[in-house]
Amino acid sequence: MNHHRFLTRFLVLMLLALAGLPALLFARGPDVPCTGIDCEQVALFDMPASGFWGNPQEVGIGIHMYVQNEVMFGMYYGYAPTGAPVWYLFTARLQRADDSPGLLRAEATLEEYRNGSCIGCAPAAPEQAGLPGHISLVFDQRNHGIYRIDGGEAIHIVPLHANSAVAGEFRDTMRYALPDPEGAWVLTFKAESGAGAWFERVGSISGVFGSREVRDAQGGHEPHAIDWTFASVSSGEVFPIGRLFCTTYGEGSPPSTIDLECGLELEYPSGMFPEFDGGVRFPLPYANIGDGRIVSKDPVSGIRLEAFRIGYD
Amino acid sequence: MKWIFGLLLALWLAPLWLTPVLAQGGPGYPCQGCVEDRPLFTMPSSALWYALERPGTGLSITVQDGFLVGMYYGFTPTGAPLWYLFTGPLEQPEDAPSKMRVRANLQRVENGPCLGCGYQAPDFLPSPGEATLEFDQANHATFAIDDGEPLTMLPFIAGVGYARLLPSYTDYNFPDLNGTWVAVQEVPQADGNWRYDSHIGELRSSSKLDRYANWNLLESWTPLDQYVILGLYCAFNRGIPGVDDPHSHDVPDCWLSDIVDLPDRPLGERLYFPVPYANIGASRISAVHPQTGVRLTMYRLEYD
Repeated sequence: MNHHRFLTRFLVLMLLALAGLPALLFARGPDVPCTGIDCEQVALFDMPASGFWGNPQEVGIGIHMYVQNEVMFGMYYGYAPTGAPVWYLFTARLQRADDSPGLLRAEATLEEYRNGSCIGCAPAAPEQAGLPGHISLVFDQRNHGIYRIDGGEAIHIVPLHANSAVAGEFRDTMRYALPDPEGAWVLTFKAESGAGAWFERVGSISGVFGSREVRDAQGGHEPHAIDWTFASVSSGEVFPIGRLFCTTYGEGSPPSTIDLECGLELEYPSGMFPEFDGGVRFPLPYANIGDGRIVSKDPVSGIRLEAFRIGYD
Repeated sequence: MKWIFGLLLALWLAPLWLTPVLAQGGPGYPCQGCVEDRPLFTMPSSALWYALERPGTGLSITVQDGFLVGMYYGFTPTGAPLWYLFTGPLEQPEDAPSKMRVRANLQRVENGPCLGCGYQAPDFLPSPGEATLEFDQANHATFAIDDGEPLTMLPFIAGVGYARLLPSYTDYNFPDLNGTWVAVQEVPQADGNWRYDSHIGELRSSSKLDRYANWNLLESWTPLDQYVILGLYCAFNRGIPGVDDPHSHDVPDCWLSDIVDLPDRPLGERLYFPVPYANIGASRISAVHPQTGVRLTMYRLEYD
């Protein structure tokens, strides 16, 4: 790994975040539209991404969320009224409301601790010093959410991608730095075997997303699109079996005349999932495409997709 | 619900009264099965980590393709909360090639907005010191600031139960592994590229004793056609054919056993991957085959 490449990317991301400050005039944080599907009603992800989250326009404040099996364990890193750094611990269980089953919600009390060990000091047990506030979180996509402190102003947050190449074609409208998936991934699938069946089918296929291809709109008649071919390798032969795409129509990009639509199409012979013989198209809200994970569910077949970037995290 | 959070908080506060016990002769966290020339894991766990010897102190860690973003959380000498940011690439140090290390200046940030207040840009102040974070296993590390005493760091396990399966040999808490996992093989090719293979199934614990633990990945084509290819076990010398157990006869080793298609070799060769105890995590199990360089990583589905 090239040390300078890492640092350069990180610094560039930080500069881009600072460059977004004028947007503060309109909203706090990146409101990433949920396009292509009704995210409020269709559950396409099981949990938000784990990692550092924040509003890229407000550097210096971070929420580290780590989700395991619907349990969220997090830290809020901010400041006391004096300006001193402070952190608050919170734990919550992610839940779905009946009237908006596509959204994941969490409610938690922030806990402040004091009098623990300082650096180089003898061990000391910290004491709970207070409950300074209440945090509520709502996620409509795996990599986009909103939080509020004590019911106050909504702040949009996204995960910090410190070391991922970005596909920036739709950055202005979507306000989410789309990680470029080029590289090795394993795609996994889960589905019931049929109506009333108890058997759960699982399957996987590994392969590589190729480099990004860009098609520019031409006078509004052709889509403005980006896509990546997904290919598996077997016996030394490379077999393209699908593609990940984001497409919009319009006079260049943006503005567009219809919403951006992203998806993952797969077509290949599969003994366990014969649906793939005829092709399956997984809808992908833009911010379900993460740097280390891509998740979705095909509403037609009911097949759940969870893709892991190999060796990434 | 509440018992889970209570358990988490108890764990968070537990190290203080555990420390004397562990210091009096617990086995610690030996890197059993590790080799000298390379780490046997691809990436350390992204998680909230805690300092075993310093309750309420720890690290938030996110790793992305070899780059680590960390936040140290702890307390000032007056007992006030404190955090420092640090970032850097994970490197394989020349003086300790079996480990992965990040060395970076801590960033001290102050005077940002208070909770629920309007935004104001914080000040980035002079660095208070250099952090060194060193992983010998995917779920075990030491952390030091400047020349200070290294602290033992371990990730929280929040989503499943855990147990000290081999209490005479390691203090490591093995997470409950039962669930759906996909195993990914990264196989180096003669031309310098990698080939990727995978298989998926239900990991099930088949036996647990004080000196032995075993899990099998149950795969299936139909409900009536189930089979096992991949196994994970921790045991004393198993007499693996053709494999010299590099470790003591007095300590159990953990192994992943899987069938791999190697280039220029007969199809379907079974390889035995040594797995240091703390490479067995709640959402990842990672191993490297020292002789062939094949990497085997297991990812848990629908977990994180």
